[in-house]
Amino acid sequence: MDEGAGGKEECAKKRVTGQKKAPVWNDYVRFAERMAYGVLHLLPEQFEKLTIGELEQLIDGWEERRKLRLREQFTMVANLMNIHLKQGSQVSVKRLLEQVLPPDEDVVEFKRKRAEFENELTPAQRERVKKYVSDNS
Amino acid sequence: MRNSVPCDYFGEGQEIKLSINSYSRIQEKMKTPIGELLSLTRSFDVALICELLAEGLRQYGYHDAQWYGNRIQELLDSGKVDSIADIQTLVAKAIIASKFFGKEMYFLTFPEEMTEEDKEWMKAQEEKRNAPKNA
Repeated sequence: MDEGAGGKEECAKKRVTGQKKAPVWNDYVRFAERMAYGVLHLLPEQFEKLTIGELEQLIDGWEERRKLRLREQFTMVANLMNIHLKQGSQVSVKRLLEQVLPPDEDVVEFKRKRAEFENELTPAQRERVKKYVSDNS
Repeated sequence: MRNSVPCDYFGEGQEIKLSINSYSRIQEKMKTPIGELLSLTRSFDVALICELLAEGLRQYGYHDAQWYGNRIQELLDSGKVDSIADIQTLVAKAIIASKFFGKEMYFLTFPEEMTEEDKEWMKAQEEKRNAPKNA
């Protein structure tokens, strides 16, 4: 994916001079691509057709699937471990999950980028969109 | 959840769907950051609407912005569309449906899509916003 309007240098320049808001969109798209190709294993032509909402639904779905898979694996692991452990010091699936399930860093970073981009749209701007839609519908 | 908005002005049964790539392409064409383009400070000019239509209806065969400009003019002349605002609203809804402005804006525009869970989420967002900042 290209850098969009102005490119990387232009973005940096805008950030330094503070003339205009830097296009956070490009950062968001870079992370979206990383999630789509790296985590979700999508093909470029599949990614191209996705809306922002659809991509986020896919990521939520992937997180759910990850949790489910880990739960299944840890149930088996806990059963195997508990055979050899004394009662009281046995491990639970919940305890094992807690060690692995601070969510995937990529997903956290992706969501942070998304929030960053959304924050760039100021409350006044949102109000304007809302008013615009309600006036015209 | 809907990701597109029906639009019968340029062909039967068509839907405007704006993907992540659509926004990147529009940004590239217009040479302006997409956040600025869609801030409505530029009052959603006709050129931008045509670009958004060209990208949003790309799945039915690509026509450039000028083609959509001519079609809109024809629609206005024939009286099928009362004013450009009809098409502006449709495009604005398509942007919101793509979740460009986030989930909250989406539910404010399409409240019929909200489930009970979503209503609670919206309430929580509202409370979070209204909560005193130093608390």
